[in-house]
Amino acid sequence: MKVTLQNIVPNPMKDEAFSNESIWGKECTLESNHSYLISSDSGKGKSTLLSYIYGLRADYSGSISIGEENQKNISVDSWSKLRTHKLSYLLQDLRLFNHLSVWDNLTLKNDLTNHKTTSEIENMLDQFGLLSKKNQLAGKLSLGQQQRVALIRCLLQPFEFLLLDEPFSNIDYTNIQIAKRLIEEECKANNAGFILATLGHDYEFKNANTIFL
Amino acid sequence: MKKAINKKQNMFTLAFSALGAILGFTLLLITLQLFTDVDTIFNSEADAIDSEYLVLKKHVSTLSTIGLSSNTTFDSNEIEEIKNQNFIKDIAPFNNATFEVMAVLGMEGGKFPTMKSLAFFETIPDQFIDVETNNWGWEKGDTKVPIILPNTYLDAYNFGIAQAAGTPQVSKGIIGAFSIKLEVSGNGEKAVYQGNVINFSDRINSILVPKSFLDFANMEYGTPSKQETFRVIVEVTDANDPSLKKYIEENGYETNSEQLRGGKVEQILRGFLNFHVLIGIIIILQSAFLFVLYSQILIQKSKYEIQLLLILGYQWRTITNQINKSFIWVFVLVGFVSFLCFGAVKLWFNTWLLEEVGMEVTSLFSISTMLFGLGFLLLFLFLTGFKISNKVKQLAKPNS
Repeated sequence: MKVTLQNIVPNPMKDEAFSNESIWGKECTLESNHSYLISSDSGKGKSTLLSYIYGLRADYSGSISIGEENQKNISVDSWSKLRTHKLSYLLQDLRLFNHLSVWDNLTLKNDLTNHKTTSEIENMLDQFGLLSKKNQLAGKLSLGQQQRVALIRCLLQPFEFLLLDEPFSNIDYTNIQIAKRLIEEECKANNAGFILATLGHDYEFKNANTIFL
Repeated sequence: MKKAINKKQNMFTLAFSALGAILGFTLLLITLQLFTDVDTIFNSEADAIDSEYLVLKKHVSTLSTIGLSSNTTFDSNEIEEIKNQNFIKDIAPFNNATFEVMAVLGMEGGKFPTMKSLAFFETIPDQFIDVETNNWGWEKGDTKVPIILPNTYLDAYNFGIAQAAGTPQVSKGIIGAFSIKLEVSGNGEKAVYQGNVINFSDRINSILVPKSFLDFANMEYGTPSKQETFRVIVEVTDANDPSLKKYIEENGYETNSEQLRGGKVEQILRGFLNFHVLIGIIIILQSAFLFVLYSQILIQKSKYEIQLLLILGYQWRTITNQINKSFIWVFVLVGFVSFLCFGAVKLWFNTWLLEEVGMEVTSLFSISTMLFGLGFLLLFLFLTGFKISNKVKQLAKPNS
């Protein structure tokens, strides 16, 4: 899958001046056999770019194509299909159902895609040391635990691009390593790439290209 | 998924919307049913015979008595005009006798008094007669003449004369045993006929004879040219029709029917009911708005959950169906409770009518009321469902 950005400027940023290396207002193609780190200070539009690619927002000038389609022409139904088969997104604010248990949060996604077996999901929880929290309400977990649950959830589907918005912001070093391993394994299994927004840290991903905003 | 959305059901708001809807719905059902009931009550007689009959006459004033105004007859133009009114189905004049008749009633050797009275004959077309007319015919040479008497005559005898004179009452059945001698005279001629009462009429307050006899006797003993129409009988679809009443009043006619008075009562009652229906509709619209508003609030409150499901890749249709499903039971409940409330009120009203007014309304509710009620409920459901699916679809679109 290819994501092509052409002269994109988000409407809220249309009066701002961009640095030379910023891809805003330029042309750029992201291919799913590569992985990318979007690196910038906060407020430069990392989350905005990811939400454009995932179809949550369309407030920009220029054009984005997702696969062969213009982002603005993709139907509501096609977005649902993209989000279950080709694009997976870990949002910065995690977006768990706080009133549901960890397990319900995970199966809510997996029921839709039937991508993993129960034992596979349990295994992922176990790797993060969260198996004992399976039946706890997501809202009662610490932010770091929630982030790990949300990460597992976005791996419960096939994808070509995995969009990760500051996925390690609340996780300790050991768990970052586990998360990195999981992400790389899943990308490999899906023959996919990730696009990871970061505040500048490269998390020692070896094969990722860096994009600046 | 059900768990994901439904936690934010605000029971308080929902209960109030439902209560409003139940109130409005019950009121609407009651109003609709009252409408049907009033219709049934006022049209029960019309239903039995399809048409109703009225006898029209002109006002007899003092002036007409002393001969200064003789305008108590209907001419052919007037009859034609009445006939052309759209609420008149048929009209026929009363043909009257232009000769003198003396009726002598008595039973030979019996204990009944002999009564002798000046009488009159009239005739109307058979289709206007409300009783069986077997043996209703007369041919030249017959000495027996079939006659139909008004029921009031029999009543007057049974409850008046018989009581006063101490004579036995008679039933319709044995009236045939009476001999009524009809002494007909005029043009210097005189003849006696044997009157044969074949029936009693409720509708026509006149002594009826077959037309063939009247025509013959008018030629023989009277003056056919002097025949004038003082009364007409009209067939109408609905004697309660307000425009009929207005027409009769405007033309200065009089009628024997009390139904026209009922017409006035019905008119007022219908006016009230129309108003009531209007209020019922306003209330039901209001509760429809309440429901739509509630569905909006529900979506607004569940916006986070709905958006999240959309982010996870759920189809907007799946989400809409789930929300609608949770709504259906509210509608079922509203419908059920409303029908119960309506049934209770109607039962109370029927009992009240029976005990206080003495009017029996047998049906608790009619099919039309139920169908209409159900229709409204479905409309509500459709409206809410439509609103919800629109809102969810809107959430599914990328923000621009």
